[in-house]
Amino acid sequence: MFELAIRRALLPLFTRTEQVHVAAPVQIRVLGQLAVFRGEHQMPLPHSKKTRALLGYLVVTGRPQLRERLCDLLWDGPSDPRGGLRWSLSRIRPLIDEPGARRVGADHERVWFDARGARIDLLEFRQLVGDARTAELTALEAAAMLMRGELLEGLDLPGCYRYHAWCSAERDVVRTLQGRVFRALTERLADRPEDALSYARAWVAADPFAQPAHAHVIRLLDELGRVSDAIDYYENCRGMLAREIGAAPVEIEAARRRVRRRAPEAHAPDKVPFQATAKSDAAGELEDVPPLVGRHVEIAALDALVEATTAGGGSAASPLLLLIGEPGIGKTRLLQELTARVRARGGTVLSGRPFEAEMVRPYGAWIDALRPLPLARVPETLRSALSPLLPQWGDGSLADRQELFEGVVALLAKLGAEAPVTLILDDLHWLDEASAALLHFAIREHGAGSRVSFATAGRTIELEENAAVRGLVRALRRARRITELELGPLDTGSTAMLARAIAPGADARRVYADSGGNPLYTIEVARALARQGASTTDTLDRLIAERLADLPPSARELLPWAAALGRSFDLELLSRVVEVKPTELTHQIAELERHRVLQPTDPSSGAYDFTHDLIREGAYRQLSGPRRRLVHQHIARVLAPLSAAEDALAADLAHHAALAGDSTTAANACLAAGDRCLRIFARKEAAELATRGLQHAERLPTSEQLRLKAELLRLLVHTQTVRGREREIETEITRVTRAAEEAGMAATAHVGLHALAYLHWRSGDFVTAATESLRSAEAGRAADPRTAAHAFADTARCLAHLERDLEPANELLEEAAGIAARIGVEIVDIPWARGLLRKLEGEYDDAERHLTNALEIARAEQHAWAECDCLTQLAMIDLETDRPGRALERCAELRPAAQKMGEGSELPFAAALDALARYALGQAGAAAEVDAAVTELRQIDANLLLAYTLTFAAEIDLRGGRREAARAQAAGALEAAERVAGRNMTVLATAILACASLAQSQHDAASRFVDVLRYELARGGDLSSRAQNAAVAAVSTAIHTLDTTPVTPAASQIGSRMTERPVQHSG
Amino acid sequence: MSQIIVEQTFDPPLTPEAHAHLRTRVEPCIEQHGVAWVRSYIAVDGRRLICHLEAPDAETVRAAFRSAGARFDRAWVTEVREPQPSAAV
Repeated sequence: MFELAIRRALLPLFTRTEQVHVAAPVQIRVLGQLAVFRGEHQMPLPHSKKTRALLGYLVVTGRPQLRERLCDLLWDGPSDPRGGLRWSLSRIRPLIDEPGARRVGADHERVWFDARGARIDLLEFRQLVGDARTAELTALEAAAMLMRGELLEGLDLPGCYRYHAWCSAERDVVRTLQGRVFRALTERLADRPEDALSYARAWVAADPFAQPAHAHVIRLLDELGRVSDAIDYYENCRGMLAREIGAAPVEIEAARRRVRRRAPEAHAPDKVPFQATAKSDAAGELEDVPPLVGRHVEIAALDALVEATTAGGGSAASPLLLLIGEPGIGKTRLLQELTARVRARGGTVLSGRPFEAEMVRPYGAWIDALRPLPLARVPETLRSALSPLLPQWGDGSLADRQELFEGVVALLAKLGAEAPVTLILDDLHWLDEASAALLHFAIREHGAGSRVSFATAGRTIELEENAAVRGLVRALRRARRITELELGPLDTGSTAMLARAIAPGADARRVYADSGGNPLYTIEVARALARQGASTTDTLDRLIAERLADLPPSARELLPWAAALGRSFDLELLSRVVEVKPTELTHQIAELERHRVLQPTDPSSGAYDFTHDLIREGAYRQLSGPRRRLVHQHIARVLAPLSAAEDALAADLAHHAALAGDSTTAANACLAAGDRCLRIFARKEAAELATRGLQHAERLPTSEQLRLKAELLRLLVHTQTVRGREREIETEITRVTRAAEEAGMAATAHVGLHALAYLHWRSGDFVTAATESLRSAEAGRAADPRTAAHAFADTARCLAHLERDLEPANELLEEAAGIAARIGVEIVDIPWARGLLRKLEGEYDDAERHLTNALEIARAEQHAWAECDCLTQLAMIDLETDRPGRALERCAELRPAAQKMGEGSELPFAAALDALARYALGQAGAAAEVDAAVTELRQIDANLLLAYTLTFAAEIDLRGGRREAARAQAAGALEAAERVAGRNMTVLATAILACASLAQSQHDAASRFVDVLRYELARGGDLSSRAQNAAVAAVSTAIHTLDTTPVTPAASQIGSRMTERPVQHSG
Repeated sequence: MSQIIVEQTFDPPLTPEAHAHLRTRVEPCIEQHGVAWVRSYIAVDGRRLICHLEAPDAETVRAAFRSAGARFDRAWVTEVREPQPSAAV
């Protein structure tokens, strides 16, 4: 009937041609859940949420879109976004294309949706409404009928930030239009107060802060004689408005004053925005975990896994079990069964679960899996390494991701030695990149003899859409280390058993026909039968919504808050969010547990979660858009002070603040969460947070925007994930830095300058890297693992010595380390290269640790040159970190090692380092020793070593106020460095010359040197942290000095700036 | 670029196979360091090897050989002097 009304109302709007299509059009609904109809038949939509979102986006925007934009919108991250787009388009076309009419057009650059002749509810809605104030009443009523819910309801993709931002904005627009329609209907239907009341309520739902809407509800209730309802409503909405927006409810008060005083009537309490209607608690039944029916093959696989883990080593061939299937097919139930079986055999289960809302919470599932472990079971030696995941276990920082991974693997091995261990990760499709990498590493490490196994489950389509997990699964398939089980629907017999366990008298054939053998669907259909006594052909979503609506009111009020949290939660957080007394909360939780809506995730952790993601989604869908925003805003307010103390909550805060539209909080939280990600080596997540933060920062006032952008761009470049986008990012950093300079924001400009320098240092010449530098690595790939590991490590170490192609060097090093760890070999080049790379990055503590490790291995292997070079590097670190006394001790160790190297440069350079240490200590005769060392280095034609010696001597001279000597030394260093194109040394020498010239007020000379430094900073390439800091310090000093003469920087200040650490990601 | 001489001695003497192996190890490394091999002279008894290379400086050659794990006795800069062409030619 509604359809007829709409068609009648629309008829005059169609042209003659279009009327032909009205007879049997393709109909697409975007108001409410996305739906496609051919005639009366509703078409099954693709399972992939992204594919449905793409269709919705194309239909709603209605104009050609660049492929690149669509890729950014929905596939920002996977290795082949264009492939993802093509795949989705291939799923959409058969759905909406018609014979002779292609609805989805595409060329090389663009994709578009051709709406001609199709019926699109949003277009019809807009046509009907026009200007709501003047539109026909029938058109308005027809438009109201088209409003089946939120725009693209349920198609939320919080992981796709750009899509999410677009969708939120579009929903706001549609909601505003809806509000206008409801307002017009409420006001015009004065003669039909019952209908007007319905529209007024719908208006409130569309815009909970619209005071006129609330005033109309109060007025209409009064007109209908429901005075006590009107007064109750007033009390509730006044409290809500005061609490949420602090608004003075003038119109509400006015409406209240008009309410006539009458005796309370017999009407039931009415619905108000934050108070649900009481319904009979018909469900009320106590339900345990549903029985496991059928699944004989899968249970046999579970038993095999348990058996192999208990025996140790039997699972070496495939230590990972992956259950795959559609939502509700029973994956989680099988994992619960596995948990019970492992525990029955005395084994340990570590269980974690990622959530869609927290794909930027690195290692989230791992943290949840490890957190319940009693501290006593965690060896003290590992606590520090694991503390970045669980700060309550210790206080440590990590040198690199490898150390963290090795810590986790060692813990699993230790637990496995005590009792068999099974790590269970449900909902693998939401796993973040860092967790996937750790899982891969852990599986690779636990080979023969291990009593550790892994079981996971994921949705078929979403698994393919998660690039990190897709890569993990493919790699394990290639290595034959995964057992995959695809779960199909239950057969009729199993479905009947399951249905009768829920509703004993259920018509099994009917249930099977309705549910198609999907266990969750079967359970919900059976529950509906138990509740209503009749079968239903409703969708699973609707069944869930009905079940939630039947919950007791107090428990139901809790649901939106729990759902909006987006993941498992502890009661303390929930109680802070909902602000109810603990006793009341416990009662509400018990109710929800009794109705199988919530369940404890682990009895020891005290955390709760929804029994199924679909139930969480159903509960969340009950919130209208504006209420969602309010709920997230409130959660963000609660989380903000907590995240200041526990930075792991920053990602959650960013998530909720973004959904609340609070850009300031969101951008700041993205920055804090991103920095935390970097500290635990989750680079991709950090990059994602930086990108999101930049989007939020766009909406902020200028000064706050510049400050946050500079910091977020600094974060982004430190993630080292910007390859291919260097130019674009460089332009943005330059723009922000200039704007900050113009605005007098020196600190912000400094951050920008550092970010720029770091970007250039990192970007380097990748063409060269891809050819020459990686040639030996490519050769290694074809060899056996041991040879490959040696080849990768050797190439990485060689590049580090050459101080170029540092990004490929880092990648090769990680690859070498992974292989070496797997096959259990120790390769001196690995810690050696790590030490060299960290030294270049200015991470001296880490560099020292790695080089000391390499030194031990070198000595054990009697690798003379490695021993000599490690000692040399360590002595250089001592000098560069202003510890000349220690450098002297190191040189004493170095000399005998250098002597063994024969007629090379090792001994002369050892003498030079020794002389520099004495010179730094101000010892008598040290200057002459430095001169002698310089002469010797000249003689053997070792220009870089000569430049190092001269530069360091020049720095000491500069600090000591010997400016002319400093200039002379630095000039010699510059000449030597330029002779061999040693860029870092060239920059260092130039920086000293600039500083010395400034100190001597030789501004013309200083300007020339500063120009060179500016050019070097802007040029890009692998510039070391030391050179970079020196250049930035010299340029900053020059800007300050040349603009504000006669202020001259103190020489000691310049010297100290030379060794200042750069702004680094690791804290 | 400088002309660099590298001197190496071998005991036991360098065989043709060992020389081929040495070249396989050293050549990629010297290329990576920006060093060009010009020519080598091998003593007929295989006990001495002199390589002539072009490099930014002698230390670059040392670093390349060290990196390749190739021992050497010394490396030094040389000035190449060719015989003067006779007036008749």
